[in-house]
Amino acid sequence: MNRNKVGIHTGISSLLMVLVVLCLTTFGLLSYSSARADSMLTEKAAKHMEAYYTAQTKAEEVIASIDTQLSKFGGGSQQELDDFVAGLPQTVIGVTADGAMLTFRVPVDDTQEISGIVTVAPAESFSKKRYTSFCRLVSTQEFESDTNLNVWQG
Amino acid sequence: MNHSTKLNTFFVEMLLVLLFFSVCAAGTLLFFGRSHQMAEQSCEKSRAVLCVQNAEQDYLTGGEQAILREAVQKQQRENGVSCELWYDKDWKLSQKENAYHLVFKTEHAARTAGEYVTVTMHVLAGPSKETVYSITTGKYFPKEREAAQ
Repeated sequence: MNRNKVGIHTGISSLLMVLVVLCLTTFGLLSYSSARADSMLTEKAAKHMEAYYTAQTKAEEVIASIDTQLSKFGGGSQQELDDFVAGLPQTVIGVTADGAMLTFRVPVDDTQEISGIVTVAPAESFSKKRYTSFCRLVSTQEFESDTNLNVWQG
Repeated sequence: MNHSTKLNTFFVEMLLVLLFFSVCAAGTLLFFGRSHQMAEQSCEKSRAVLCVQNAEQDYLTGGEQAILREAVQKQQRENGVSCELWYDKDWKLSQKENAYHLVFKTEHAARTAGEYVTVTMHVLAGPSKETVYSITTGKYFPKEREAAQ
Protein backbone atom coordinates (compact mmCIF):
# COMPACT_ATOMS: atom_id res chain seq x y z
CA MET A 1 0.00 0.00 0.00
CA ASN A 2 2.84 2.32 0.93
CA ARG A 3 4.63 1.41 -2.26
CA ASN A 4 1.69 2.62 -4.34
CA LYS A 5 1.73 6.02 -2.59
CA VAL A 6 5.43 6.65 -3.22
CA GLY A 7 5.15 5.40 -6.82
CA ILE A 8 6.79 7.15 -9.80
CA HIS A 9 4.49 9.74 -11.33
CA THR A 10 4.85 9.95 -15.08
CA GLY A 11 4.44 13.42 -16.62
CA ILE A 12 6.22 15.44 -13.92
CA SER A 13 9.52 15.40 -15.83
CA SER A 14 7.75 16.52 -19.03
CA LEU A 15 6.18 19.44 -17.21
CA LEU A 16 9.51 20.41 -15.68
CA MET A 17 11.18 20.15 -19.04
CA VAL A 18 8.57 22.39 -20.68
CA LEU A 19 9.11 24.97 -17.94
CA VAL A 20 12.89 24.88 -18.26
CA VAL A 21 12.79 25.07 -22.06
CA LEU A 22 10.40 28.03 -21.87
CA CYS A 23 12.71 29.82 -19.45
CA LEU A 24 15.77 29.10 -21.58
CA THR A 25 14.04 30.30 -24.75
CA THR A 26 12.84 33.50 -23.07
CA PHE A 27 16.27 34.35 -21.65
CA GLY A 28 17.93 33.44 -24.93
CA LEU A 29 15.62 35.71 -26.91
CA LEU A 30 16.00 38.55 -24.41
CA SER A 31 19.77 38.27 -24.49
CA TYR A 32 19.80 38.14 -28.30
CA SER A 33 17.51 41.17 -28.68
CA SER A 34 19.59 43.14 -26.18
CA ALA A 35 22.84 42.27 -27.96
CA ARG A 36 21.27 43.10 -31.34
CA ALA A 37 20.06 46.51 -30.12
CA ASP A 38 23.51 47.22 -28.71
CA SER A 39 25.15 46.18 -31.95
CA MET A 40 22.81 48.38 -34.01
CA LEU A 41 23.53 51.36 -31.75
CA THR A 42 27.26 50.83 -32.09
CA GLU A 43 26.91 50.54 -35.87
CA LYS A 44 24.90 53.77 -35.96
CA ALA A 45 27.47 55.59 -33.83
CA ALA A 46 30.30 54.32 -36.01
CA LYS A 47 28.49 55.41 -39.20
CA HIS A 48 27.84 58.85 -37.70
CA MET A 49 31.49 59.15 -36.82
CA GLU A 50 32.42 58.26 -40.40
CA ALA A 51 29.99 60.89 -41.72
CA TYR A 52 31.41 63.45 -39.30
CA TYR A 53 34.99 62.82 -40.38
CA THR A 54 33.99 62.95 -44.06
CA ALA A 55 32.31 66.33 -43.45
CA GLN A 56 35.28 67.56 -41.43
CA THR A 57 37.62 66.59 -44.26
CA LYS A 58 35.42 68.58 -46.67
CA ALA A 59 35.44 71.55 -44.27
CA GLU A 60 39.25 71.44 -44.17
CA GLU A 61 39.26 71.36 -47.99
CA VAL A 62 37.08 74.48 -47.97
CA ILE A 63 39.49 76.22 -45.59
CA ALA A 64 42.39 75.19 -47.84
CA SER A 65 40.58 76.67 -50.87
CA ILE A 66 39.84 79.89 -49.00
CA ASP A 67 43.47 80.12 -47.94
CA THR A 68 44.60 79.57 -51.53
CA GLN A 69 42.30 82.40 -52.65
CA LEU A 70 43.53 84.60 -49.82
CA SER A 71 47.13 84.03 -50.82
CA LYS A 72 46.27 85.36 -54.30
CA PHE A 73 44.34 88.29 -52.89
CA GLY A 74 46.98 90.93 -52.44
CA GLY A 75 45.20 94.25 -52.43
CA GLY A 76 41.96 95.83 -51.44
CA SER A 77 40.44 97.02 -54.73
CA GLN A 78 36.84 96.10 -55.55
CA GLN A 79 37.91 94.13 -58.63
CA GLU A 80 40.28 92.01 -56.58
CA LEU A 81 37.62 91.46 -53.95
CA ASP A 82 35.16 90.37 -56.66
CA ASP A 83 37.73 87.96 -58.10
CA PHE A 84 38.41 86.64 -54.62
CA VAL A 85 34.69 86.02 -53.96
CA ALA A 86 34.22 84.44 -57.41
CA GLY A 87 37.07 82.02 -56.75
CA LEU A 88 35.66 80.75 -53.47
CA PRO A 89 34.23 77.23 -53.31
CA GLN A 90 30.45 76.87 -53.61
CA THR A 91 30.09 75.68 -50.05
CA VAL A 92 30.89 79.22 -48.90
CA ILE A 93 27.45 80.69 -48.32
CA GLY A 94 28.21 84.08 -46.88
CA VAL A 95 30.87 86.73 -47.40
CA THR A 96 30.78 90.12 -45.71
CA ALA A 97 31.02 93.23 -47.91
CA ASP A 98 34.75 93.70 -47.23
CA GLY A 99 35.48 89.97 -47.45
CA ALA A 100 36.64 89.93 -43.82
CA MET A 101 34.33 87.14 -42.69
CA LEU A 102 33.34 84.03 -44.63
CA THR A 103 30.86 81.43 -43.52
CA PHE A 104 30.36 77.96 -44.92
CA ARG A 105 28.34 74.86 -44.17
CA VAL A 106 29.10 71.22 -44.80
CA PRO A 107 26.28 68.73 -44.14
CA VAL A 108 27.10 65.73 -41.93
CA ASP A 109 23.73 63.96 -42.13
CA ASP A 110 20.04 64.89 -42.16
CA THR A 111 20.20 66.42 -38.72
CA GLN A 112 23.66 67.92 -38.35
CA GLU A 113 26.12 70.06 -40.26
CA ILE A 114 29.52 71.60 -39.76
CA SER A 115 29.29 75.35 -39.62
CA GLY A 116 32.56 77.13 -40.33
CA ILE A 117 33.60 80.75 -39.99
CA VAL A 118 36.81 82.13 -41.44
CA THR A 119 37.74 85.55 -40.12
CA VAL A 120 40.32 87.40 -42.16
CA ALA A 121 42.42 89.85 -40.26
CA PRO A 122 44.29 92.17 -42.59
CA ALA A 123 47.75 93.09 -41.39
CA GLU A 124 49.07 96.60 -41.31
CA SER A 125 49.76 96.99 -45.04
CA PHE A 126 46.77 94.89 -46.16
CA SER A 127 49.20 92.83 -48.13
CA LYS A 128 49.72 90.04 -45.62
CA LYS A 129 46.43 88.35 -44.90
CA ARG A 130 46.03 86.23 -41.83
CA TYR A 131 42.94 84.36 -40.84
CA THR A 132 41.41 82.33 -38.09
CA SER A 133 39.04 79.49 -38.79
CA PHE A 134 36.42 78.07 -36.47
CA CYS A 135 34.30 75.01 -37.15
CA ARG A 136 31.55 73.59 -35.00
CA LEU A 137 28.94 70.89 -35.26
CA VAL A 138 25.41 72.31 -35.29
CA SER A 139 21.94 70.85 -35.54
CA THR A 140 19.96 71.60 -38.67
CA GLN A 141 16.65 70.91 -37.00
CA GLU A 142 14.95 73.67 -35.12
CA PHE A 143 14.33 73.00 -31.49
CA GLU A 144 10.69 73.26 -30.59
CA SER A 145 10.14 73.59 -26.90
CA ASP A 146 6.92 72.26 -25.50
CA THR A 147 5.30 75.20 -23.70
CA ASN A 148 2.03 73.48 -23.01
CA LEU A 149 1.63 72.84 -19.33
CA ASN A 150 -0.96 70.20 -18.94
CA VAL A 151 -2.12 71.25 -15.48
CA TRP A 152 -5.45 71.37 -13.86
CA GLN A 153 -7.07 74.72 -14.52
CA GLY A 154 -9.40 74.53 -11.58
CA MET B 1 -0.28 -1.75 -14.29
CA ASN B 2 2.45 -3.36 -12.28
CA HIS B 3 5.50 -1.59 -10.89
CA SER B 4 7.99 -2.64 -13.57
CA THR B 5 5.72 -1.39 -16.39
CA LYS B 6 5.39 1.97 -14.57
CA LEU B 7 9.16 2.16 -14.21
CA ASN B 8 9.62 1.41 -17.89
CA THR B 9 7.15 4.14 -18.86
CA PHE B 10 8.98 6.59 -16.61
CA PHE B 11 12.35 5.76 -18.14
CA VAL B 12 10.98 6.04 -21.66
CA GLU B 13 9.51 9.42 -20.78
CA MET B 14 12.77 10.54 -19.18
CA LEU B 15 14.64 9.47 -22.29
CA LEU B 16 12.28 11.40 -24.55
CA VAL B 17 12.40 14.42 -22.24
CA LEU B 18 16.19 14.38 -22.19
CA LEU B 19 16.31 14.03 -25.96
CA PHE B 20 13.92 16.92 -26.51
CA PHE B 21 15.65 19.03 -23.86
CA SER B 22 19.07 18.50 -25.41
CA VAL B 23 17.74 19.57 -28.83
CA CYS B 24 16.13 22.70 -27.32
CA ALA B 25 19.19 23.46 -25.19
CA ALA B 26 21.44 23.20 -28.24
CA GLY B 27 19.24 25.70 -30.10
CA THR B 28 19.13 28.08 -27.14
CA LEU B 29 22.87 27.80 -26.62
CA LEU B 30 23.33 28.88 -30.22
CA PHE B 31 21.25 31.96 -29.42
CA PHE B 32 23.36 32.69 -26.34
CA GLY B 33 26.54 32.13 -28.30
CA ARG B 34 25.43 34.45 -31.09
CA SER B 35 24.39 37.09 -28.53
CA HIS B 36 27.77 36.88 -26.85
CA GLN B 37 29.54 37.17 -30.18
CA MET B 38 27.45 40.23 -31.15
CA ALA B 39 28.13 41.87 -27.78
CA GLU B 40 31.86 41.23 -28.17
CA GLN B 41 31.87 42.63 -31.71
CA SER B 42 29.96 45.78 -30.77
CA CYS B 43 32.23 46.35 -27.76
CA GLU B 44 35.27 45.88 -30.02
CA LYS B 45 33.88 48.33 -32.57
CA SER B 46 33.07 50.95 -29.91
CA ARG B 47 36.60 50.70 -28.57
CA ALA B 48 38.01 50.87 -32.09
CA VAL B 49 36.03 54.08 -32.79
CA LEU B 50 37.38 55.59 -29.56
CA CYS B 51 40.89 54.48 -30.45
CA VAL B 52 40.65 56.10 -33.91
CA GLN B 53 39.21 59.31 -32.40
CA ASN B 54 42.01 59.46 -29.86
CA ALA B 55 44.61 58.88 -32.53
CA GLU B 56 43.12 61.58 -34.76
CA GLN B 57 42.90 64.11 -31.96
CA ASP B 58 46.37 63.27 -30.77
CA TYR B 59 48.04 63.43 -34.14
CA LEU B 60 46.24 66.24 -35.94
CA THR B 61 45.26 68.59 -33.17
CA GLY B 62 48.01 67.80 -30.66
CA GLY B 63 46.16 66.19 -27.79
CA GLU B 64 47.46 65.75 -24.29
CA GLN B 65 48.66 62.20 -24.81
CA ALA B 66 51.88 62.87 -26.62
CA ILE B 67 52.81 59.16 -26.44
CA LEU B 68 50.93 58.34 -29.63
CA ARG B 69 52.26 61.34 -31.53
CA GLU B 70 55.80 60.51 -30.49
CA ALA B 71 55.33 56.85 -31.38
CA VAL B 72 53.94 57.77 -34.80
CA GLN B 73 56.73 60.24 -35.47
CA LYS B 74 59.37 57.71 -34.37
CA GLN B 75 57.94 55.02 -36.63
CA GLN B 76 57.49 57.50 -39.47
CA ARG B 77 61.17 58.33 -39.25
CA GLU B 78 61.97 54.63 -39.38
CA ASN B 79 59.38 53.33 -41.86
CA GLY B 80 58.32 56.32 -43.91
CA VAL B 81 54.76 57.55 -43.84
CA SER B 82 52.96 54.52 -42.44
CA CYS B 83 53.24 53.12 -38.95
CA GLU B 84 51.57 50.55 -36.72
CA LEU B 85 50.65 50.82 -33.09
CA TRP B 86 49.77 47.75 -31.05
CA TYR B 87 47.11 47.51 -28.39
CA ASP B 88 46.45 44.70 -25.93
CA LYS B 89 43.00 43.18 -25.36
CA ASP B 90 42.21 46.01 -22.90
CA TRP B 91 43.12 48.59 -25.53
CA LYS B 92 46.27 49.76 -23.81
CA LEU B 93 49.29 50.67 -25.94
CA SER B 94 51.64 47.76 -26.25
CA GLN B 95 55.28 47.67 -27.34
CA LYS B 96 55.03 44.34 -29.14
CA GLU B 97 52.51 42.53 -31.36
CA ASN B 98 49.23 42.10 -29.54
CA ALA B 99 45.44 41.71 -29.90
CA TYR B 100 44.72 44.85 -31.92
CA HIS B 101 46.72 47.15 -34.08
CA LEU B 102 46.20 50.55 -35.55
CA VAL B 103 47.64 51.17 -38.98
CA PHE B 104 48.27 54.86 -39.38
CA LYS B 105 49.03 56.26 -42.83
CA THR B 106 49.65 59.91 -43.60
CA GLU B 107 49.86 61.65 -46.94
CA HIS B 108 51.23 65.16 -47.17
CA ALA B 109 50.11 67.20 -50.18
CA ALA B 110 51.55 70.62 -50.82
CA ARG B 111 49.01 73.33 -51.61
CA THR B 112 49.59 76.83 -52.88
CA ALA B 113 49.42 78.37 -49.45
CA GLY B 114 50.02 75.44 -47.12
CA GLU B 115 50.01 71.69 -46.69
CA TYR B 116 47.10 69.26 -46.59
CA VAL B 117 47.60 66.15 -44.49
CA THR B 118 45.37 63.16 -45.15
CA VAL B 119 45.33 60.56 -42.40
CA THR B 120 43.97 57.05 -42.95
CA MET B 121 43.51 54.85 -39.92
CA HIS B 122 42.60 51.17 -39.83
CA VAL B 123 42.01 49.19 -36.68
CA LEU B 124 42.72 45.51 -37.26
CA ALA B 125 41.99 42.66 -34.89
CA GLY B 126 43.69 39.39 -34.19
CA PRO B 127 46.21 37.44 -36.21
CA SER B 128 43.78 37.33 -39.16
CA LYS B 129 44.05 41.15 -39.30
CA GLU B 130 40.35 41.60 -39.80
CA THR B 131 39.40 45.27 -40.18
CA VAL B 132 37.27 46.42 -37.25
CA TYR B 133 37.00 50.08 -38.19
CA SER B 134 38.65 52.44 -40.60
CA ILE B 135 38.44 56.12 -41.24
CA THR B 136 40.01 58.77 -43.45
CA THR B 137 40.30 62.36 -42.39
CA GLY B 138 42.35 65.40 -43.26
CA LYS B 139 43.65 68.66 -41.92
CA TYR B 140 44.99 71.73 -43.58
CA PHE B 141 48.07 73.44 -42.19
CA PRO B 142 48.62 76.93 -43.63
CA LYS B 143 52.11 78.22 -44.26
CA GLU B 144 53.38 81.35 -42.63
CA ARG B 145 52.90 83.86 -45.42
CA GLU B 146 55.40 86.46 -46.43
CA ALA B 147 54.23 89.94 -47.33
CA ALA B 148 53.04 90.10 -50.93
CA GLN B 149 54.88 92.41 -53.23
